Amino acid sequence: MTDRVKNIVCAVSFLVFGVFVYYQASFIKPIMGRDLGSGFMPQVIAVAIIALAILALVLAVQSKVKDSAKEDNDMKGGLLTILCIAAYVILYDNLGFLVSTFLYLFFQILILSNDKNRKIPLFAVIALATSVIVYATFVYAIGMPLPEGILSF
Amino acid sequence: MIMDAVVAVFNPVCLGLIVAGVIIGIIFGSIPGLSATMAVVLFLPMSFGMEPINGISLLVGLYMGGISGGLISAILLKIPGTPSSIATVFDGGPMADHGEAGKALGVGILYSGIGSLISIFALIFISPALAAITLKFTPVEYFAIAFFSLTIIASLSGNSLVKGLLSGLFGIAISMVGLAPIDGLTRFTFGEFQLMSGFDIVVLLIGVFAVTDIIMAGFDRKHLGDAYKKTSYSLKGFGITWEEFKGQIGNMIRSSLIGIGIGILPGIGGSTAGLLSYTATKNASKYPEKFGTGIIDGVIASETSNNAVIGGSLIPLITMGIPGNTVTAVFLGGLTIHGINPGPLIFEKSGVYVYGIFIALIVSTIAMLVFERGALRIFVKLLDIPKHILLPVVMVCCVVGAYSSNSRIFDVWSVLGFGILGVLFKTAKVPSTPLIIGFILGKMAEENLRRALQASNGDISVFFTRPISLVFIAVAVVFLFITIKNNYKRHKAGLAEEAEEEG
Repeated sequence: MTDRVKNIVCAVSFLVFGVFVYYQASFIKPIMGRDLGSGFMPQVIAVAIIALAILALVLAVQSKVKDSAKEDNDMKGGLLTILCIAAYVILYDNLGFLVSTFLYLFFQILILSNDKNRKIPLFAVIALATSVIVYATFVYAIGMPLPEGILSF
Repeated sequence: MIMDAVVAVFNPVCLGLIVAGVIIGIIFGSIPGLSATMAVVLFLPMSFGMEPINGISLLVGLYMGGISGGLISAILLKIPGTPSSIATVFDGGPMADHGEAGKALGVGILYSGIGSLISIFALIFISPALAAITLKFTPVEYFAIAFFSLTIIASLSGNSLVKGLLSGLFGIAISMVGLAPIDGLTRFTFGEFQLMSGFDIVVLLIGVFAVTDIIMAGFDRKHLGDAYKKTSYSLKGFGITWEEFKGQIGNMIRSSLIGIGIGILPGIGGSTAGLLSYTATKNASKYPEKFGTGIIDGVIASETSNNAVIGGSLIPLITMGIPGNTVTAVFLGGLTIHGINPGPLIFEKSGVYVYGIFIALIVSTIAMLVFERGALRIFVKLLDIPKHILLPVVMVCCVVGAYSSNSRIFDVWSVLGFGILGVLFKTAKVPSTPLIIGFILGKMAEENLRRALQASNGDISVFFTRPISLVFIAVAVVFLFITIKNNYKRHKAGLAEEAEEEG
């Protein structure tokens, strides 16, 4: 995606968001005398967002911005990281802290590692040690409960 | 009250927490990819369960260590560990090339301490006076200040004014989810009871400042394993002679004042302070041509002023409840959760805690000097921890932090959501600092606007007839005008825009 397209998409997203906020806020009516009501400020903010988004859109469409150096992003790495975190959140409550954290750490480290530094046994040990240390620190040293799930101590 | 504060800070638990905070802060500050803001954000939920003074002292230690740690990688790797240390690279890097890495580190650490101390004294002397003035403030002035702060932050935190403003407004919009101020109406909850209390600031901060970076690392994983070239060093004492010290007094005072001033102004932050002081020192110098070739003047200017920002930034926070940067935004969260409400009455209502903060700042400066110098070898070693292992561990801390603030999984989902939002912002080069400040000041702006207009029977002229309010609004408008002009010039020149982030 070029910078110009990015800017256009960004401006349109803000525009849609602004319209949505304005529409939602238009249903809020003042309930106290002499007060602007809780719908006033959201409407002002929404109008400002809409106005600026239109300005940003105009600027983006007109722009002759040269593209910055070709990005060499790893789409797969980013999306896998997001998926991995999402899976962690789902398992966090169901399997409990220890098991879910071990699984998350192991797979996340694996995703971020490359052929040269991939040491699977080491990753497993780190995942296990970190889960246990963080759990013990929070539950026993700080006294903050973490989800127990299927395994706890 | 001062004695009570001394007793509270000088107990083993509190001192231990300050030292731990400083050490962890230095680690977060020195490793590129982790930042001072991240350190303070991750430990904020942990501070909730502590005694107020202990929790706040921990945060103070983290802030101090985080800002100071950046110089280690700025000098040895030529990569600023935290954005505040950008200007340190200019002369710190060349010094390392000439075999003077040890001297650059020693001088950097020493002047970080000096900059901190000078700014702490400014904080101690300015804030009570400012609190006395703000005592006379009505909702009219508070609205004007919120308006002023938001405008300045949005204009300064990126290179595109429009994107900065949009980011700030977006922050205000998401702060409106949940119960409205004054009439307590529920809005933007879409029937979801979890949204009744709105989004927690901790959740937003962890998402935007930690989770975003971890996801970005995923997108950048090919370069994650790239080894940095690390210079070795040798150092005795702080590496500076008495003669050199005397020659740098002017530089030290100027850089401290710039740092304090930048700290007081909202939204500018440590990296700008460092760059400004560097430029000012170069312009005032008898040998400006030597700057950038590896002289201590440059390192001193940058490190003195980025640490002086610490004391400066706490002045508006304590006296008005206005956070000027992301770290003080986290501080605000830490103070309010313990029932300490920053504002003009803070010295009367929570005096012990305010003096506690002052003392904790001084103690953490000393701890920083002792440990950053004493354990330098260990911190340098820690730069070798591979990122692919470090970042997942940080993510676990993010999840624990988000979960433990309210013990609900909804917050953990929100953290991921805000993390993805942060990634989108980064990709579109929208700065995220205005988002955070908008989120915090939005509520304050709305509440004070509505109160002011209730009191004036809906007459908006109150904002222009009261002098303080008029000044703030006028300055904001003039500033906005100048920024628009500069932006327009840049736009015409066709320069590519780039958002710079403050950590």
